[in-house]
Amino acid sequence: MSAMAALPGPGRLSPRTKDLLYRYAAVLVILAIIVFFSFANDNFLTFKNFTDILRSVSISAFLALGVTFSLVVDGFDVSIGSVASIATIGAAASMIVFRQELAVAIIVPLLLGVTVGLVNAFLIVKLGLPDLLATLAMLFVVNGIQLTYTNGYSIYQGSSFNGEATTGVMLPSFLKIGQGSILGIPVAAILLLVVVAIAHVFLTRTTVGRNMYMVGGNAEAARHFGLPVGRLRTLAYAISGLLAAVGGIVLTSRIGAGQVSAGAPMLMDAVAAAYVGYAIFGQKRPSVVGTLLGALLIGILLNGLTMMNVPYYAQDIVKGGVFIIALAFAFLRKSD
Amino acid sequence: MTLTLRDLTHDYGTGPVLHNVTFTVQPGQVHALLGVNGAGKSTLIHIATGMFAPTAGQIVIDDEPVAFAHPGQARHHGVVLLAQEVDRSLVPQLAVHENLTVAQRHGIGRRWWFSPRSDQRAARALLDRYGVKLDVTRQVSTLSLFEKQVLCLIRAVASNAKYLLLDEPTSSFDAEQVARFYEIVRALIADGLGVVFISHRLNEVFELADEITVLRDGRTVLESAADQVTPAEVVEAITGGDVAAVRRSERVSRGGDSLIEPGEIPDVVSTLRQAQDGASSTSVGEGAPAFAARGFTIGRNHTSIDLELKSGEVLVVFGPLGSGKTSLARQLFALRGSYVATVDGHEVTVKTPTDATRLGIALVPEERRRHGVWLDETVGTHLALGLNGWIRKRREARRSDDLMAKFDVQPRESGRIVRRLSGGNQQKVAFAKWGDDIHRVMVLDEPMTGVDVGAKESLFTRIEQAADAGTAVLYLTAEPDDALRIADRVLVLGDGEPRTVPARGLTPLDLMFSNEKEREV
Repeated sequence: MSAMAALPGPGRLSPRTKDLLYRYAAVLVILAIIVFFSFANDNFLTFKNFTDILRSVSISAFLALGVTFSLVVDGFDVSIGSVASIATIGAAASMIVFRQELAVAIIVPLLLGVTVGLVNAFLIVKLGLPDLLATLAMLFVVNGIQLTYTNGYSIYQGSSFNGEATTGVMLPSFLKIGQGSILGIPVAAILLLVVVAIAHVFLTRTTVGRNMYMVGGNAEAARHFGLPVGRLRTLAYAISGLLAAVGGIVLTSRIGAGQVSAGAPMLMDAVAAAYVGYAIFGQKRPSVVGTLLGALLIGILLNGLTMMNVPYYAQDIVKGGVFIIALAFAFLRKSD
Repeated sequence: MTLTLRDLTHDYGTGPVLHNVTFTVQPGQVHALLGVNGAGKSTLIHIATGMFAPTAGQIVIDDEPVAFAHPGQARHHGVVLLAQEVDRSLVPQLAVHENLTVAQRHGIGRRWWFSPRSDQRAARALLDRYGVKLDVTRQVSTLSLFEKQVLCLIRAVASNAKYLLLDEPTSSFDAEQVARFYEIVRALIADGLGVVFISHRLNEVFELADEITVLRDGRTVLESAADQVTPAEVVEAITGGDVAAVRRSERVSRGGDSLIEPGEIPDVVSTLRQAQDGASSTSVGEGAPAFAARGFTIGRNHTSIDLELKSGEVLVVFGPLGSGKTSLARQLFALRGSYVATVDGHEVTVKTPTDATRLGIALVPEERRRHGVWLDETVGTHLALGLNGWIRKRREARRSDDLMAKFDVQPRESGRIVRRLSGGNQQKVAFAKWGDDIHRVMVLDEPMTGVDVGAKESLFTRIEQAADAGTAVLYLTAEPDDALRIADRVLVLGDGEPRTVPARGLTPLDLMFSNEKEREV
């Protein structure tokens, strides 16, 4: 809000306020959109609607946080959509096919996520494949694995699995993650904020986090300073896989079943959110808070447009337009 | 048919770097341009090739004043620089003949279609004319560095070059390649090409040059026909004859005896011989080596180098460009894979750069902007890199204030982005990011490149302080003045076997001629 207060009338922008304007442009865009939707629709500015937005945003936000970690080390992880899918299948299969407890239903998908992250890191750090290509390959491989494992059928309560009847249930405690709420706030949203807080502290308040940024800023300089470049990149991809798996768990809980390839549509929203976050403070530097705001921006937009009865298929046009505006503010800044 | 740079003066805004320099290239002649780094050679070359316009003065071709707004115009007038980085000017995915005809077609107007076969024939004819044996259909990426360099040379001629600027062209060649390269250059000269020749290798200069011009601090200090001047005179012109700062080897009284009488023109070979004898009797630095490692291989002949670094000693590795100094620095920091070192009498395997830092090895790399600093990070971030654990703002601010003062970083602003510092101050940051605790070994690879005189002396002082505190310093350079300013011992690289000699009493001439003379004997 201080940025708002600092805004003078048009025509007498000092370089300092201009800088502030650029820096907080994306934040202003979010606020402007909120104001617009509030006037356009009475139900928009309600507590219930905002918890809905948070709930719907949370899944792609977890994936976006994963992408953010890969961006911090100047990489790019596009396998997160498939990781979310395989995490979904892993969680559902644990409960429904293998009748396991809550802990197993959470640990299995997390392990799957970290494993994919480590394989990504192996391809990138040890074999030297370009980040985008390695994770793109893994996107296919992982997607194929979860489809092969399930023969392409979703796993839900009472479904048959590979020709045999299943006896397990989606545990109510597991369903709480995506569907429950505490004091009116969705559990998924609370979980998201906790993860955001931890990730933020890690990246901005620990030297390991800063070293990740140093690797991303100039990997060669990092190597010539003796920073463990390979390990830091491996850690980033492992975290990315882990966070995508968390997104997959929340997704499973939300829909109450293990739907095949459920994570795939999340990928592009997550990438967009991370890049909006990259641009959001005009710094061109990936950040956790920026990514959260990016995800919120996209969520608010979709929610508001839906309320205004904008057809679903037209929403992508608006989404793309906002993406352009947010990035333009950051990238045009150099030229003035 | 003469290219003249007349009364050039240039100023980057930080004081003039060229003062009224006039430089002429005649067709069919080689004019050598000599000087230490920062003497103004690069500026002169950049002006001649149209990279930027001089503050004052003009470029005259055949009595016609011309102005180059960009490098393309210089090329249009036939002024071509043979760059050291050949990979940038060739298209690696294309064949030899394609790289040649690209240049030609650009020169003689545009055709929309072409015949690969006639292009190949033309390319073959061109290569044959200068006795170059090269399959024109080979992809450029499969060529050796030497072949690429030759291709660049031929291509320059194909694009109607009249004046060719060679900047350290042979730095990565072996002796035979050097000879073949100059054979081609001589053929080009015979065809009427005018050549500007920049080299640190004085023997090549004297073999090839008709004229010699020496720049120092942006002024012409020597201009002469090559046969009217002796190597010693040239070296003296290059280095200025006197060394401004007091040499470390003369201040620190643990070197050998003075080896030459003042005023005596030293006989290089005997000086080095004496120096070697001296090395065995008087040890520079005391006690067991703090760090030793064997079997580093460097240079085009894969010369094997063993290093023994003593605590508190500055060992300068002196060698011309391309002699493998950077490779040595990189190997020592385990950037080229693991090696075994002896540290305090224990054998350790150094597998990664991280291991190297754990052993207390610090590296200030040669390419400062790419490897030494993060251009888009703040000074404060660099100076906090040595810390571990939680980021505590106050601890970092204290450390960065402290280090900025100790390394004299100007301006003393920890929030300043490193890109916006001068070269010298960037280098101070590259040093200071290692902190001021005592390192076991400091590896400094050409640390004074692009560093202004003031910053230079303050960096030298820092290096001496580090050494006096017990750090073993390995200083790699091709600049004889810098080498002798800081050295306790000098390891001379070159065409022959590497030798270590005490620095005391050595002159720049000894260093610059040590290898060539040896060969003649």
